Amino acid sequence: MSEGFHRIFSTFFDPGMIVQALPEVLTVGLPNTLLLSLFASAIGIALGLLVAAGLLSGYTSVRLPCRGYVDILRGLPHILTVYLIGQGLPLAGLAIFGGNTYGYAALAIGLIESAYFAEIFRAGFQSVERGQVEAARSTGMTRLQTMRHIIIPQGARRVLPPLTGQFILVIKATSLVYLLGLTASQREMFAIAQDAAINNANLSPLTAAGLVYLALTIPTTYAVNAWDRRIRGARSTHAVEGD
Amino acid sequence: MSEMPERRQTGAHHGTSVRFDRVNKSFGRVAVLRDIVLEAPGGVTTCIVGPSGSGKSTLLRCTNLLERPESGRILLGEIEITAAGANVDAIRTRVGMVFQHFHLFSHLSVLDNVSLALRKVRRMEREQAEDVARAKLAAVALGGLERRRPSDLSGGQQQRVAIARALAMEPEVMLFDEATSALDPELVKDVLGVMRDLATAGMTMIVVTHEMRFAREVAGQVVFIDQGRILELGPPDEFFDRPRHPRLRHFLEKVL
Amino acid sequence: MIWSRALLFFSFALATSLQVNAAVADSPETNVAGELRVAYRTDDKPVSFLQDGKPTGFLIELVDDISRRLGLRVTYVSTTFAAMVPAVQNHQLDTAAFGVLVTPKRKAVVDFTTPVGYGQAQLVSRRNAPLAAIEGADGKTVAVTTASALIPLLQKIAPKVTIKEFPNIASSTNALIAAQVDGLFTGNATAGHLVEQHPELTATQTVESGINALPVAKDRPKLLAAMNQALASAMKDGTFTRLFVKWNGSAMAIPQRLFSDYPGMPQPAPDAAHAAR
Repeated sequence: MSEGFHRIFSTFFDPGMIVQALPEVLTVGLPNTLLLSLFASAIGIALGLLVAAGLLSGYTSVRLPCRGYVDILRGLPHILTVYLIGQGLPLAGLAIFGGNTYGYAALAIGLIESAYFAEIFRAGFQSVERGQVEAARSTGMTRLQTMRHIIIPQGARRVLPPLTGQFILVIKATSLVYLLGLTASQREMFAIAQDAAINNANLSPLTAAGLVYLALTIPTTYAVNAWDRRIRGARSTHAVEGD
Repeated sequence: MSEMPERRQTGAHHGTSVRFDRVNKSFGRVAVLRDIVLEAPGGVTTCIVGPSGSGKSTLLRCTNLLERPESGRILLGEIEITAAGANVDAIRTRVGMVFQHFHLFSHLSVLDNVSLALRKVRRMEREQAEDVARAKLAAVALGGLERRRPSDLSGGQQQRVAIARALAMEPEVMLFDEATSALDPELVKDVLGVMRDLATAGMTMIVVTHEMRFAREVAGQVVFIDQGRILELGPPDEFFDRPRHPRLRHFLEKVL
Repeated sequence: MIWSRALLFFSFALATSLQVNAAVADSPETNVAGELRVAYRTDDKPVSFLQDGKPTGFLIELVDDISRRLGLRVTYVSTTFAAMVPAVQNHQLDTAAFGVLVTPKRKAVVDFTTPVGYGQAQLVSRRNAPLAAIEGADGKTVAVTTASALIPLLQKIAPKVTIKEFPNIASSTNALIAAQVDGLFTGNATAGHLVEQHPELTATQTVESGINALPVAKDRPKLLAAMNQALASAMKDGTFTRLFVKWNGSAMAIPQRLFSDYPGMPQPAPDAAHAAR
């Protein structure tokens, strides 16, 4: 019985292995994970804003392609899209990032995430009261000025909690970059842990990386939830005052 | 209030008029406005009364093109605003609108609420725009509240900020859509006071209201709309003291 | 009544499970009695790959032969290179049917049979930008399968070459063709196959990396001994030689060291290759 327990323990939680793996996970893997998450999110947010505007367009010829884009990218497994774009673009002669794996990975993950970001933005923009828009247009502000000075700043407040939640998903999605090939210094947390796990034939390095992922994601999740509650609370009291 | 005397110089009956020429509007299959013919003369306050759902708000919203009539023409002075290719944004700078629920920009300070359009539409420098905004806020007796958020103000204060926001653009016509309906009774007076001052200063105003006393005292003409049609129109004393249409008589019995 | 029936059922189940241990008497203990569970790779042609839905290849047929000699049924389970050693160590699988380089770290967690080959990794590059050798290819990037034992070796002989890790040969080949890397290292049999499949690629330098052998869990000494014995017979009676020629053709020679490891192993007949084709 105790031998069985010991084996389970040493398979996942070998303290020596965890301690041995942590420095590289933290000094090489963590910065790479964050770097890739930020790049992918930047691409995702920029594209997501555009697509969200398209989703809200009055023109069917704009709205339908945007809808299709969102449905397709949300409907495919991440791993498939990362392979198709990350390996497919250079194979097809579109080596837009040269030999830089991160470029393709950030683009692939960014494209996937842009579909999710677009839906978040769409919901955020739609949550801005119609009256705010009418008031802005009544002063002579153009559609674009209203978007920029009223809808985006107001929508952004409501959108920030779900946006941050999505960022957590991006952090996790970046582990797929290993599919596209990484040099030693490019490896992010998962790749480093995977290598160490294989070389030592023990899963504890993966546990080490898992702990770092959790240290990133769990506090963020709770912070976002608290934040979201505060915004919702503020909105409902405000609504009572307004009426 | 400080800038009103200046307004007075333009004088009553010289302001911009609004004319509605056989205006029709429907939402889906429901006809909301039917063959509306009406002139709101320059420098005069036109009050529109009627039961809820009668189309009075829609008529107001057509006046700054928040709604588009299906047929008919609306003229602002000599300009046909319903013409194809009319510059909607430019027209709206000439027509100020005040809403029932204020619709102050909730993410901006009081000062920014009033100065935003000056900066973005009139392309004023921030400093100049804020000077104008301060003056407009002082004119509605809200000096000193510039840095507050709309949510920190009472309903009456919020509505006066909304009036200042509309006035900042120096409009030729002001539209009030049940501006006091959402206010607590004790706050109504301040807002009506500001509107009364504007009327006295010679602003062309179209006011959709349930405040019959205000209509009687301030309006140059009062219009009764029911089921999308104008059923009666006249100077206030005639309108209130000698109503002709039975539906108006019925309406007045209920509200007075 | 119900109780006695349940008891009957229980003792039957117990007996069946005890049989598992009883079976060990003649064939060596494996993770599932009477069965040899073997890791294979779907993409390592011609050594270990999937064709028409069935695992096939040089080492697959060799393991087939070994298990016949052991009286065990074979089940193949596809794994990545990376997942294999832990799977053998943890009794998910009994052994692997692809070239596993024997390294000190791996030897610390699993045992290995006697050699089935000598790792000869070959450098593959694009014909229009060929790399003759890894030495002197400073500043170039070379693809290697994740956690391959080649990585430390390459770092030693060519420290200024950048090594990029890929999860499998398919993705590193794509990267090479798309000029995302300048070369890739893989076993020489696979390299030969890649060059055949992709005329734009060329195979150059061969690097000898060490002993290739089949992994067995440390606590299965009987299985290891039985496999070694079966392997020795397959070497001696010419089975290995025949399979080697069948899968690698005549162009590739059986590593000389194997002949000294297994005295009496027959050389391929001069015309065997032609016969095999």
